[in-house]
Amino acid sequence: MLLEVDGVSQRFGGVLANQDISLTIVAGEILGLIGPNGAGKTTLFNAIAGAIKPTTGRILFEGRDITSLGASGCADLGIARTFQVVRNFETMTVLENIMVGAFNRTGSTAEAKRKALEVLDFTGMSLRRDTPAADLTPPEKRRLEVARALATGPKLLLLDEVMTGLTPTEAQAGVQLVRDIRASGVTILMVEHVMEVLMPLVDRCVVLNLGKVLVEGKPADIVRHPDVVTAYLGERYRASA
Amino acid sequence: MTAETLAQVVVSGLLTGMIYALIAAGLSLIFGLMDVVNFAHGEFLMTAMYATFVLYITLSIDPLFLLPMVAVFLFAIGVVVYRVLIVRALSVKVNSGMVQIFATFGLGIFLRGIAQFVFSPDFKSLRGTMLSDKTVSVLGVFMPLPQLAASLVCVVAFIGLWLLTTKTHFGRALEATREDSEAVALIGVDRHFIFAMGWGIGAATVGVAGVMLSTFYYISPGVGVTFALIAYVVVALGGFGSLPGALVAGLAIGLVEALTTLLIPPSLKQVGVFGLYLLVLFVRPRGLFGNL
Amino acid sequence: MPASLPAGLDLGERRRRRQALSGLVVLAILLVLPLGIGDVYVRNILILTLMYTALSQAWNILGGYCGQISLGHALYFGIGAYVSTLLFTKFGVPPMLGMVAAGFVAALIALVVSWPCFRLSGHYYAIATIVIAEIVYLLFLNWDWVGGALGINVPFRGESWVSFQFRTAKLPYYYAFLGLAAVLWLASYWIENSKWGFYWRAVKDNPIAAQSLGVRLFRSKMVAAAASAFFTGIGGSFYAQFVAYIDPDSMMNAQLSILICLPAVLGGIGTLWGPAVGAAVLIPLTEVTRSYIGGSGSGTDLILYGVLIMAVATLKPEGLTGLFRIDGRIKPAAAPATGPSGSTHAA
Repeated sequence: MLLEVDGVSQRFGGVLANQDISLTIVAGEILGLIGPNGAGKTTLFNAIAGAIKPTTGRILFEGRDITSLGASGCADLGIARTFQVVRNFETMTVLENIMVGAFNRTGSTAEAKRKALEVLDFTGMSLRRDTPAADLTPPEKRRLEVARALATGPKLLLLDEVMTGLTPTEAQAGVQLVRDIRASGVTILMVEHVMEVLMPLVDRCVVLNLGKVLVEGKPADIVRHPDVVTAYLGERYRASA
Repeated sequence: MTAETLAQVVVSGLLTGMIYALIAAGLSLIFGLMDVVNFAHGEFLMTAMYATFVLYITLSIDPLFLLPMVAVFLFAIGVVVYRVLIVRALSVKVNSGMVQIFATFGLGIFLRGIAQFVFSPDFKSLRGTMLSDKTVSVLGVFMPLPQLAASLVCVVAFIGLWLLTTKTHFGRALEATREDSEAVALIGVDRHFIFAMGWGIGAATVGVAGVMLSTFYYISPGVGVTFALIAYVVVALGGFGSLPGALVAGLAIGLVEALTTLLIPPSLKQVGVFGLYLLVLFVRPRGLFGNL
Repeated sequence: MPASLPAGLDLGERRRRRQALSGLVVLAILLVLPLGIGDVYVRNILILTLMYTALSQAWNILGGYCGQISLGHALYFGIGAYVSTLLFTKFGVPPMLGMVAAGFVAALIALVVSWPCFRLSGHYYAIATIVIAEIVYLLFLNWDWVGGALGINVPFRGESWVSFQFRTAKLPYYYAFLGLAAVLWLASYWIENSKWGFYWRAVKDNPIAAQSLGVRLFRSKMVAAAASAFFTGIGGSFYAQFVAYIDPDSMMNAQLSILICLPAVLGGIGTLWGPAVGAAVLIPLTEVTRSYIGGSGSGTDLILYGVLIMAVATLKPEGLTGLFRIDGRIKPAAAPATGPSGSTHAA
């Protein structure tokens, strides 16, 4: 068990965004986190990434309590993330962006560059090495987000809606990249809306609704689960599931 | 030290504090509206003071009656500064925060340079105005009439500002733009217009303070720097963007400054004020009523 | 996508080679320049230009690379001047040693000042630097032990490099300031390619993303502040020995703070050559304006500074080096590229 979320609740003023959520992530798996809008996926995602601190509950990474650790602390321990709205370093080149990630593991520029070039190659962005991040196309920016996070040498990679808005060809390339990342030994948690892409990709799925865990299991089972259908489509479609 | 002396000092401090509050209010308004600190705010005050001086000398109209004219003049300056300088500064893609700081910082220096060039660094003062050299005594406490009048005008202006921002349609538009400047476009509010108005009102506010200040305070190119410093402290204490904060903090600062003179020689009277600033900085950076 | 790398050095490496080459060339020129100039007035301008280059480069570490705008940097300049001078006049410590102490004291002050201030965002921080600089200025003005408003005269105890005093020839001062500027140029050159440099740029571009990659925002800013203050303090020490008289008005005033940051703003914040280019344009311009259009009380220098700052801020934030593409730093294209396009190569 790589990551354990234990009874996490998140309250923002009067809103209870996450309510008593518990789940585990097993090392080496690709876990999907899905649910309708407003289900609390992003909140939970941010809590795991250390960007926000849960109101109650604990989060354990490799047995260590990381609940209050903060984003940079989590990065040091091996949790990397992407941002839903891409946050590239606009004035830097693709290579330099990735190097910032690589510096997490080393103080030497030469070493960081070496690692960054490796990741550059792995994610297939070598041709864009010297391009300023601001000049990239949106899918390329997304890919850079992932590359940069990978450069920190994470054990757990958190992907926030990386497949949204991609053409089928781009999505295919994206799926291949995620598979390659997992094959290299990184565990992955994906928040996703694009079901057709997610379902074939993940090993397991956790469905959130209204701040709580609704159901959890293999994609094939989830899709048919009546509660899941209701949550997404409303009561009327329940019967036809 | 008698009760009388203490009362005198307290009253004096509150009168001055009221003026500080109005000066800070203008700064807070602009900041609260669009998250831009006007580093030329002190120089707006200076401009109002010199404008009053020039008009008084040439037209022989008492400063009290020059108030509307100078306020409108400063309003216009505020709008022009927004349209010419701030709009450009905000439209920069990279390092926009840095650019904003330098745009108004440069403006302040420029205005100070112009004042120095046109009027020379010598101190000037207004003599022989309607209220000059007159004092009023209330319950044994002496108040120079210019300071008292200035304070009262500032109270009225503050009330006016408060009413404008909370009770009028325009005030609501101001608040809405502050919350979400992009969303208001969808309901037909031109945010550039609102921002320009905000700058105009903020400048006019400090203009009012400037006119009243010029009736009893020395006018010089550096006067803006002095009061800007105090305004920064007031806004830091009261909370950026908060009008009630500016009022409370302004009065508090005026009091602290006055009370400090009981303990320390007058040349060091800022010690209390700056000490307060450091306290706020270390203990509660967002001030009494602000959100960081 | 083909996995073969583009051939040759990457953009960063190419830029660094250009920078190193230009650095050597400029240094060579500056080394021999004063030998061909006999006019003391011109030499003085050169010395001042070098000093402001150095000071602005130091400011640039915090303001340009790390993105924290300090508008009260004269504080560290003044502290540096006072520390070395006090050590010299009251304890007989030779200025060459004293200036190292001055640098460390300035760095320490920077840490103390920055500790509460870096929790504040951009403009709050700028305001705090202004207020704190004023506080210390007033403090020194009223503190008898450091000479108060009267200041301190630096007594002449014989010409030497150790006591860093030269009466007859000002030339050694030129080379001293050149040395300081060169050291700072090298420091900036090193920073640009170091972990700190990358982290600072990341913090400046997108602090939240930086944090998610393990960058400690607070720690980064503190290091930048201390480094910047250290060198600024040393600059103050140099200057104190050069003019042989210090007082709060000449060492800690607000105008100095403007002159420290202006060359970097003018030349290009966050660039290697920005401060040098900015100082080379600004200082001679200031001197000329002062000589021909009224004395220093006329306000013409303020008008000049104000116009330049506003112009750069609104029209060309990348500064002069951006205008002439001197630095070679990449500028994002105005509109995002659609498809593989050439990057915006600078000369």
